[in-house]
Amino acid sequence: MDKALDTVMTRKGAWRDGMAKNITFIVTKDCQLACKYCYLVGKNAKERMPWDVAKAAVDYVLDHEAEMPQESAVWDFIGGEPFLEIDLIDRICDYIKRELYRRNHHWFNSYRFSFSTNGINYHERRIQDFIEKNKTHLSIGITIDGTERKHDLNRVYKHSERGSYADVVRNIPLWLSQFPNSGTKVTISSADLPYIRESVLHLFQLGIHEVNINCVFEDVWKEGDDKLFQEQLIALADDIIDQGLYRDNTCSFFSEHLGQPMDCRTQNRNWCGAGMMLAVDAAGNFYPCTRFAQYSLRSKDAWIIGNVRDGINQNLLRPFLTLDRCTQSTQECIDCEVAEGCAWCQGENYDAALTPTIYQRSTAICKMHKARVRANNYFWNKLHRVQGKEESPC
Amino acid sequence: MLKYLIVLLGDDCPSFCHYPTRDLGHELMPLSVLQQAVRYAMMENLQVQFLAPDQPLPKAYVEAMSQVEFSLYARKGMHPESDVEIVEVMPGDAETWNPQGVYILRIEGRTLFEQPLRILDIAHRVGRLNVVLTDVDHFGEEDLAKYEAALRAMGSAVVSDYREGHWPLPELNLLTDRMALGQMNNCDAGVNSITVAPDGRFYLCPAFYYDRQPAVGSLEEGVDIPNRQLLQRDHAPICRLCDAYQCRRCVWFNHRTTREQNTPGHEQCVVAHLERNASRRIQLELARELGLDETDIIPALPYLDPFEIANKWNKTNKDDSI
Repeated sequence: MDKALDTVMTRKGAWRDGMAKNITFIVTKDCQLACKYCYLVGKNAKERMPWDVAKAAVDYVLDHEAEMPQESAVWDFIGGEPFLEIDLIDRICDYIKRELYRRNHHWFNSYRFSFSTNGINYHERRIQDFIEKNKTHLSIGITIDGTERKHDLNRVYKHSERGSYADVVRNIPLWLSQFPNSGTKVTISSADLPYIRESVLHLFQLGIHEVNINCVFEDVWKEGDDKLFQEQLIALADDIIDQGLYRDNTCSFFSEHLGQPMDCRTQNRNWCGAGMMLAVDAAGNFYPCTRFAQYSLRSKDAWIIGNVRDGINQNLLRPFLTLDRCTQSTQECIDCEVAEGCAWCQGENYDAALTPTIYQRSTAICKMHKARVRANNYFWNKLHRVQGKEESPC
Repeated sequence: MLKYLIVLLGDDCPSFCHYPTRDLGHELMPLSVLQQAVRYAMMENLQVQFLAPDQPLPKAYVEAMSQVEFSLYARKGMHPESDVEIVEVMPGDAETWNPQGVYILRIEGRTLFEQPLRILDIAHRVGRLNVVLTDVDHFGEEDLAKYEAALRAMGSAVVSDYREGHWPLPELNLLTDRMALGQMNNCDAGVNSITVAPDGRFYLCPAFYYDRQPAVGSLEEGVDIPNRQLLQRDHAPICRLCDAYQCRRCVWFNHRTTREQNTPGHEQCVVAHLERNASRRIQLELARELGLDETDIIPALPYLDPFEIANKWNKTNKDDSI
């Protein structure tokens, strides 16, 4: 690392990043909220995972230990809102722990239960009991989008359209007391752009030191959004640097590994890990990632790779496991001078593609990425300059 | 660049490849569509391959077809003037064959496993024999082992025949094609060829028509293949690493087994490599027999499925370029 950046807080990344098998249970497709940017187009209160399906999924995974040689496992629970199904989750987690021990499985004591929650019922007794019971093996992220007006712009209750900020923010101190190093995930859509700066600063003030933030991958962007985005990020960069916030906080918009050309020979890895993870829904169907379940897809059929009874059809995973950056990219993306750090969601690529393929990269985010790169360059140039002066006051 | 136009002259044409047909009735392609297809081929400099239905063709159709140079594919015995004849049932010993004729034999794997030397015998009696296995996508590991055994048996017989003075070698696609190839010789549907169906629309190949897949243009509007690049080998991460040059690389099979046109299933890859390796064994035997340099022999490989080296998540694959 550059000496001048020693004092910049760096992101910690996910637990056992790259070394863990991620297994996702879609325990419910229900949620208290109807967030306006949510990609889940098929949410409903009916599809709740039955215990026998959950058990069969755990059994399938543990029965196939040799095919999942990763050192660790992240058992992920999502919805909808996963904590709506806390009793089921508690039962699943107990079963996993018991079976890992009984089978002397190599994941015993090398696993995490992971949750991404809207935080609304975080304080409830049943959830707190679960946290207390599993606290040494838990990762919980609460999604809070920033200031009240930014959060409530999108994250509203499904029937009343009332904003959920107040119900979430009250649980942040409890959450941070239990998981002090946790980060939050912020999603930016077109309407959110004016509130980026204030929102990130607000989250820092709440004590959330790691703000993972990204623009939605869907094609929602309007003319001029990139300019507005750039202005917000530069204003945010000024605040983070001028107030010295970079010492204790990170915002994922600013990264040293961003905005360089990329080589198709040496930098050809796919961005996304779809296919390496395994998701299961209430019907017992397996997916390469939750984004390939039908409730996530606007215009394509679900990409089911098997089920808890028949197992996984390995042929249906081959496209994912052989996918690389350049094969799915347009020539413009391949030649892009600021390609580094430009992300994509494999599920969104599939959903937006002209044909039912994962090999057509969506470029809806292009101008937003370029705006981010410009602001990022500004951030690091300014930070280098400031830190250089701090080191050489004369 | 497209070179070939495949024209389905009716809805009841026999399959000449992996795909099954389905009962669409017995209607011929409308004459006006046929005439339009012929005109299209002439304007686009495409060589025409007519696939004939199981019924005689009216004189007006024959006249329309005669406007261009073409080759005719038909069920054996149905159209005497055909260039390539299709056989879908394992023929008996009394079957007559044209010693210069080109034949397609569509059979299930089981048929080949049980009588590989009979198939080799047919290959000896014709100009060329293309064997199409219709159920490769249902092959299990046991079937693949049986296929390897059948190829070994045929390969050994070919070498023995050579020792007994039989020359040249029979032309049997799955056994000898790879020996003559220095580069990929795939089907290339949608790249080299396009199919026009009786409905006047283009399909990547007849399989896509019979399988109710979307059309890719029409004679009125021209060919329009979305994501066409995915049909090309350089956009196929497994195939671009592969040297089983004789593989059909069937994009319909790919789609059927993996959902992606550019990604072959395990069975197709292993079958192609078993054939490749059978060719290699024949080459080695003949080279030793003739005292030839072995440097041009098809190289040995440590795998039967190039997915093993194309899998980006396989930690042993260090090269990021694959």
